[in-house]
Amino acid sequence: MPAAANVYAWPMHGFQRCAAPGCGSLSFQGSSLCLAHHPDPAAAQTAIAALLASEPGAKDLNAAGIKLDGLELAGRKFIGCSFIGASIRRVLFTGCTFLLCFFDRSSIEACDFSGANVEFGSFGGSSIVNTSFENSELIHCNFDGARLTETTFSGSNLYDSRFISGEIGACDFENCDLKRVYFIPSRQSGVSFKGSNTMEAIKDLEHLYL
Amino acid sequence: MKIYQHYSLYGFSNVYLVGNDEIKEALVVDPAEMNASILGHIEKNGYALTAILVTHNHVHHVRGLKTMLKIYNAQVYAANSSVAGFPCHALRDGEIFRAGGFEIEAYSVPGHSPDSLVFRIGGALFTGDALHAGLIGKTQSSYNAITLAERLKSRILDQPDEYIILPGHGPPSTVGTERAFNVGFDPGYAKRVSSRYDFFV
Repeated sequence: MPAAANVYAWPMHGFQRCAAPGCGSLSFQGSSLCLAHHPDPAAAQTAIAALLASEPGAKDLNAAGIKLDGLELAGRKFIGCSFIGASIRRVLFTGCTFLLCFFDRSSIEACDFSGANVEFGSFGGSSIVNTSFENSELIHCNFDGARLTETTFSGSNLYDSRFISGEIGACDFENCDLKRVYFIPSRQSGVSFKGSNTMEAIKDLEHLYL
Repeated sequence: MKIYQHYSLYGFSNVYLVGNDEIKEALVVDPAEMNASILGHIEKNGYALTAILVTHNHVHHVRGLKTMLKIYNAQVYAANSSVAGFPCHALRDGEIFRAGGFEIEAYSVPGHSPDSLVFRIGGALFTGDALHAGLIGKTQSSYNAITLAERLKSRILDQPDEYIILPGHGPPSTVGTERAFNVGFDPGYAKRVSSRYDFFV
């Protein structure tokens, strides 16, 4: 059970639109253009990756579409950041804090979020493969539409999180707190809930609290 | 824009404080409760609370209104001309107004309740109980469910994919995620679910 009532603060990423004519995407960090229209997208991504690696955290960062590979970002704090549509491989996020961060439609592979504190975040429609969220606080998190494969959430607090319309295969949710967690995936196979309070999860549309 | 989310155990509702550091004003979306924590964040940041936006007049989203208005001289915005006995600026569908230094657009999305509104501030959509992550709001009839889904499609799902959804309950989402995965927009959802609900908050 999380703290009874929390207040978090996020300076939100600015929602500036890409300046390229007809483009509706958000501009990439430090540019008036999105990554697709950036004159040197590789350099822009490298600069952000270097920033992430050198700083203790990030606020208000729009890194939509970024490709991150092989970074060690343990213990960082991210507030109000967008990693929408990002490709994230072999990145260590152990012990990180994420507040109101968005990973929608991202591809996350072989990453380690163990011991992380992820609150009020969204992984909607993402693909998460061979990744660990073990022993984490994943409170008020949105995994709707996510395709989870060979990923573990064991030992985590998933209070008020949602797994709706997604696909969950060969994943572990052992010894988890599932209070008020919506488990209504479109497909589920090889999932272990051993030691978790599955009776407190919501598994069908007839038992909604809303 | 700074957004503060407060998780209220009264109705398990989200209360949002939206701060404008340039003019040191703030507004609250859905005052489910008013307590020392919310008050502390308003005062610690030196904000003047000048507006309260009500997505719909259900008690789990407005119970803190009375206390808030005892402390702050804030204008209340809602679909109705009064909420919980307090006078409101009654909004119309598509109305654009300024509060807290922000330009705000209101969308009428009846279905969960007749007075349901969604507020857009920049790229943030405060959807109340009309739209949650993965679900649409509860309704009392299949007609209301269909009305709500259709209105959400035309008013909310046509927004850019990256715009964020900040609902009255549960986790955040994005427009793109809701368009692709929200079961409330599935064909047959209204018949499958709505007839079973006879109680909601």
